[in-house]
Amino acid sequence: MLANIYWKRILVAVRNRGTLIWTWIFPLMMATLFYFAFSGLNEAELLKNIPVGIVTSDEYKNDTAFQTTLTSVSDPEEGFLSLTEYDTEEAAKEALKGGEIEGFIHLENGSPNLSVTKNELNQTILKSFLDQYVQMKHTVVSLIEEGVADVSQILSLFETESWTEALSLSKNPPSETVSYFFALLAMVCLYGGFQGLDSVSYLQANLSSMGIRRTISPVKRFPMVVFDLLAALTVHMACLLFLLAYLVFILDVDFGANLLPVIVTCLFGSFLGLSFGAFVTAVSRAKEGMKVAVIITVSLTCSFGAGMMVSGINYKIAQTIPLLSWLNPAARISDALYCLYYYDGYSQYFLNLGILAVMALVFSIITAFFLRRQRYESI
Amino acid sequence: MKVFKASLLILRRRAAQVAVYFFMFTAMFIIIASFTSQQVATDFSAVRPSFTVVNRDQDTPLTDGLLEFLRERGTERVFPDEKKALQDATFFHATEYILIIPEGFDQSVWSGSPLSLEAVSVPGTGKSYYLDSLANQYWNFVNVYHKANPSLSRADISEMALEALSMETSVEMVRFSDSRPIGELYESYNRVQSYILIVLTLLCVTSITMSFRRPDLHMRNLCAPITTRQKNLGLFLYCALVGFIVWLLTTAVGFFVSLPTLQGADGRLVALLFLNSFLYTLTALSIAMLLNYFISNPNTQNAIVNFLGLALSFLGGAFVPLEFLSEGLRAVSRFTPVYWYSEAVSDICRLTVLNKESLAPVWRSFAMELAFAIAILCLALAVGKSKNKAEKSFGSIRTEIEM
Repeated sequence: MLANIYWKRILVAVRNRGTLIWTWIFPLMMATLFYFAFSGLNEAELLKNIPVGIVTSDEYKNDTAFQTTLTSVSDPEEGFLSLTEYDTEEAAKEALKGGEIEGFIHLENGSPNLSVTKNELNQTILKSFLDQYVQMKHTVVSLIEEGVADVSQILSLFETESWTEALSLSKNPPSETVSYFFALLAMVCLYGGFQGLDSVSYLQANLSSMGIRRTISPVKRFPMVVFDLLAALTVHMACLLFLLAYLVFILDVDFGANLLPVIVTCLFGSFLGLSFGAFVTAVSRAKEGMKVAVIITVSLTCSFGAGMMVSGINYKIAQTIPLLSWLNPAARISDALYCLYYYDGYSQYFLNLGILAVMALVFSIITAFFLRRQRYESI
Repeated sequence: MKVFKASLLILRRRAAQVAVYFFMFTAMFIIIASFTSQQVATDFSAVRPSFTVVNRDQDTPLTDGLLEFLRERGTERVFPDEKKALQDATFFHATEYILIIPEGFDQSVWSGSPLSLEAVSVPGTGKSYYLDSLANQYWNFVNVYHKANPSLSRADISEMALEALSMETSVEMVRFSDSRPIGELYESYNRVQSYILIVLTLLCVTSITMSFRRPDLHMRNLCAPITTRQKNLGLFLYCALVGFIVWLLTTAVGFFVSLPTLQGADGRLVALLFLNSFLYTLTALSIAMLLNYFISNPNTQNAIVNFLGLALSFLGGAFVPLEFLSEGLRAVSRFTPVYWYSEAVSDICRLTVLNKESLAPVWRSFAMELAFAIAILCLALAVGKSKNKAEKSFGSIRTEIEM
């Protein structure tokens, strides 16, 4: 009988088009969308050649040192500037107004001046480059005037190779793209709420005719509820495994070397989503549309807090309002996946799983309280 | 007016559902606002990327000088010297650059064979390049002054290096108008507003049209003593009113939350942004009219509304700026109305002067939004005509009966 309940519930879940849309089709569409939308995100902050203008006044033409410096950083392969020459300041201003260049340089009394319209990073890098030129020139001149050393010696002092060497702190590189997929998986885990909603609707006599039929059936309530929810969990896990396979094997999203802990995270997340949906359905007498709206809204809000729409917002919330972050189930799921991707150890990963388990148990216990020993005066 | 009144009645009964969405979006925006810069500068002020210095050596005048120099040009973020804290900070861009000074570094500089500093950053980014060049610049000057004057103390060397590094190029901020530009906060709200507008409009409109397309109600209305024109007029009035209220509410929320950053901004730019969101509301209404023929129950309604809202917003640059999208995707997104909405937002916020030439791209984006609205409305009318003719127009629309 219980195996029958389990199997029939799976069939019902697979035939429920509404839930299928939310838990199977919607996540696949979102994953595909994320893949295309964020494909260029990791490259977005990379330094590209900065288009800059130079006013070729007589002063500039006579300043060979400055010309050499500009040429050295305008190399198409290794430089960071893309230099355009303008005969007059007005022409450069027109180009600046039209957005063709990020700024233009003109020499005045031997010093470079920069004209810009924005306060952005490219302008800051341009200014820093000119600052360096001015500072070096001043230092060389003052050291020569003091008779400290000759020009070739001083210039050789400035020719030190980089003082820094790059260090990586983790096995995988930081990636903005991957954190969106963590939040997406977290959202789909919480969409297990739809299975919880269906399960409780099918079990409660005041919510569906199926519930009336099942309430009077000669099966003990507890095993019936457990097997029903187990079947719902099975279906939702199948959905998550399908999505995970799509992400890993089709879209090539990197979740780290070991997929087993990722699947375990999905299992805990699904259990939490399911128990949340059951909780919402059991405690409220609102209409189905309202319950669906609550599940969607809570899932979306939690996913927003886990960084699904604005990357890094989960970290900012964790830094400023840690309690909110710890209580956000999507943030915990996303953080567990992040731990697997980025950390060497598993301590925080297990802490996240523990929190998810506690939340799921709390929802389950409250739901059980509402489902047990119910009597209806009228339905 | 019967249909109009009935529509309002249905909406009132579903107000909670719409309110949940509205408050969720408002909360999202307030969270975003609290993390967004509210400063709008009129003079040039360099970007101050965040950096962290982890000193595993002793504090000396040289390292103090480095910190002083970097603090003048960047924003210092202090993290404990723990791997996990530093990993998190790098991954989530809480700091763009971590400079680790190894033990014995000071002595190695002084003896002339310096150890390497360790730099942790996302490789190749503009911010890490800038901060790395600053750190190198400081130690270069320290090295130069130390080698030129080996007898000087560390404090003197640091002071001389800082003095040399204090020289700056003059920067002129060219303004092509007297007004202040639109702040980052209001610009980002306007981007996200496209998502809020489309979700709320679609929800409000399809909830009602779906109810009227229930077979029993549809048949009842067909034999009611009102003409199809009267019924359509009632629905049209309802859509217009709902569209206007949704636009007004979302615009007012964004405007009042961003008000401190709008002081001194050109009112005409704000008015253009209002007009932009209004035109987009018209497009959203057209999309709602079209979608109503493909929605048969609240579940598909929620799924379609959310997917369409998120898909259009991601494609059109509401959450991720258009310049971050790949070339191919940007080409595809040009066929969505949100692309033109986002383009208009960017163009308006970057307007430095208001004249025929500078406004041309804005008018083009407005025309595209309007063209999308008209084209989708025509499509909706054609689909409606075809569907209403067929027997399947009495198909299985399921809504909860409101008592």
